[in-house]
Amino acid sequence: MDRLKRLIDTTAVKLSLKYSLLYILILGIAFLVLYAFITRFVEDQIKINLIKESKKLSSIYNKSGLKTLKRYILSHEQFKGEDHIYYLLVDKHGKFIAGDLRKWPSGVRTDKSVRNIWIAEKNIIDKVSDGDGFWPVIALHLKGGSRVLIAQGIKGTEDLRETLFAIMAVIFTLIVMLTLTIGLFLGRSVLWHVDNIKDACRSIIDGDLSKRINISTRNDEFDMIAKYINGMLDELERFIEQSKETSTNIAHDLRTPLNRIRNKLERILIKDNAVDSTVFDSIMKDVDKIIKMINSLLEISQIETGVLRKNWDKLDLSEVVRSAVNFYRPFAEEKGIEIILDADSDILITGNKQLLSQSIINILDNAIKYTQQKGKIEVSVKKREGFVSVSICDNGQGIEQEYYEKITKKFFRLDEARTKDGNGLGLSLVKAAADLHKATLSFRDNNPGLCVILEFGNCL
Amino acid sequence: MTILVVGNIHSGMKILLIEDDIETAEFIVKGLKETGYVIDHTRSGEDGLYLAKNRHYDALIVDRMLPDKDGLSIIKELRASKDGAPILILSALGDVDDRVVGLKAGADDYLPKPFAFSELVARIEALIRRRYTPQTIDKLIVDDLVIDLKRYKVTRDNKHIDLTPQEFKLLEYLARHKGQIVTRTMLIENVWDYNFEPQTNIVDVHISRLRAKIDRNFKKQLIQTLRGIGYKIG
Repeated sequence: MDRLKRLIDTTAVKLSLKYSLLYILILGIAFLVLYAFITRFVEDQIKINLIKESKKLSSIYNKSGLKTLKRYILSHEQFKGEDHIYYLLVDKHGKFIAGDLRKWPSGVRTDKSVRNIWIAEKNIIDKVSDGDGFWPVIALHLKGGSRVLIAQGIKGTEDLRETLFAIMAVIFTLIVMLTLTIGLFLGRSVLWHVDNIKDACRSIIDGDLSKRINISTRNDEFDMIAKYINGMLDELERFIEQSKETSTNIAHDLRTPLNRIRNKLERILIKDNAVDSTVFDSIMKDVDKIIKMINSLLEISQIETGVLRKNWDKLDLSEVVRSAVNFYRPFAEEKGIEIILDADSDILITGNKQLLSQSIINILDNAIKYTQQKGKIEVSVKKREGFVSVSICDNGQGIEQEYYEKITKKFFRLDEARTKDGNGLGLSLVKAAADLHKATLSFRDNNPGLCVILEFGNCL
Repeated sequence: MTILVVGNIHSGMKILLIEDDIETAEFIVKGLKETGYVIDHTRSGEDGLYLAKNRHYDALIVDRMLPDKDGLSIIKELRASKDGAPILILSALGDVDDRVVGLKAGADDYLPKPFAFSELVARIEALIRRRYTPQTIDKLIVDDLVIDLKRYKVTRDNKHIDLTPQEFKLLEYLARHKGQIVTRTMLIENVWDYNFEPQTNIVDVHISRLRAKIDRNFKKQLIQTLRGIGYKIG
């Protein structure tokens, strides 16, 4: 159903629909012109015939008299068929003498010109197949007061009309069906190309930067676009890799001199008791903070490369969360925050225990930092249909929904967080670890507070 | 019943350093000599393996990546020849997996480069100490503090002290390394089995809680903090 809707929405199908409408319009006009010409021609022929016939009758009467005319009319009655010509001969009082009509129709004037006169069906004797309608009629006065009327049955012209319309209808249907079929085929081929591009883009959105669009051998315009997109992706990937590499290299290179500084500070601190140790202490703390930040950055980039997927073990996720909560509980209690743990037992997943522990700890760390005194943090590990959900919900000030996407970005910190301890890498690590485990990381408003939810589906 | 009573760090302990990077090697050699160790250094893995097999060392420091021989294969060969000296691996790689691989190969500890010198010293001391002290003991005694490992009981000055399992484990680790500096990283690794640094200095919180139970009502403070380095008991 969805596919059908998409097919109808394609430009190809829409265009072919438009074209078929256009064809119908053009053909309709052509048909009307043709129809007008044909009916005009037929009417003219009828007129000519009627005038000819009237002349014939007139000359029969003039040469041979009323009786012969009556006989002529009577002889015609035997050949009633389609395209039949109807006659009526009346005397000077209007009394019926011979013919196919019962009585003289009103409105018929004997002026030798063809007119369309209303003839009712019941007025016809032995009616064949003509019906009510305006019939072309010619009438004339004969010498002696009799009148004669000649009418052309309309069955033939009506049949002609019907045939013309039928042909037209068939042609219209054929055109619509043909253009629609062509359109659907075109649409399908367009959809195939579009799906091809779409699939590649979706993989890239999902994080597989190495994915490219398949190129067919047709070398058509879609292949051309695909080639350009692929080229663009190559360039982008190269650029991203390069910038990643550069930042990793910078981080890496910074680490060594920083550690040297740290070691020198340490030696001064241990050996020389005369120095102002509080100053050194704070310098040491700053250096440690930078080293920690660099280590986190390198760690995240290492997780992102996916190499940590080796050496995975079966582990009990409940136990991982329980240990993390126990590890952090004293920190929470110092702030008067209560941590409530509700964990299903024996939730076995395959993964990297250290990374998962670190992720839970980073989330807990944030929850405790951004929850006020006497707050409450609820941690739950639940087995659901086909997946496991770990949620950590605090009742702190929470985060505006617009920032949900951003808070996992490296070094992103909310304004109120800048004054607090931390480096803006905690949730980036959680995100990277979640991606590595094919788990989803999401955020929810806890009214008040924030819920951080990790859902593991693929490593059960 | 074996009871562990630990004195000062033994001086004159012999250490073999197998490290090809000159700068790192010089820094380690100089620092360890100042601390009181006797140290042999070689840049070659083959030479290192020969030395380790033919001389007695109290501990080995082995770089993971050597030009002629992989550090891991040196460790495997030494372990196969039943050489009992504890080995610490140094590695520039330093992620969780490398640690696992290194320990599986038979190393006793793992330190990613770059490292704080105090961290290296603390770990070397812990390794040597462990080698020369029995691991199966029933009681740890630090001054008037007695840790009964069998009954999970702690007393100080014969007064019972109630500890959580976590606090007990922390105290036990400190006491097993009595008189030695124990770094925060060592505590995180050995007490909680985590190989990463948490964002908050959570170890300090645990220590201060432990201190509140062990030291608060006593004149002599057993747990000392060494700024920027770690802790020491006794």
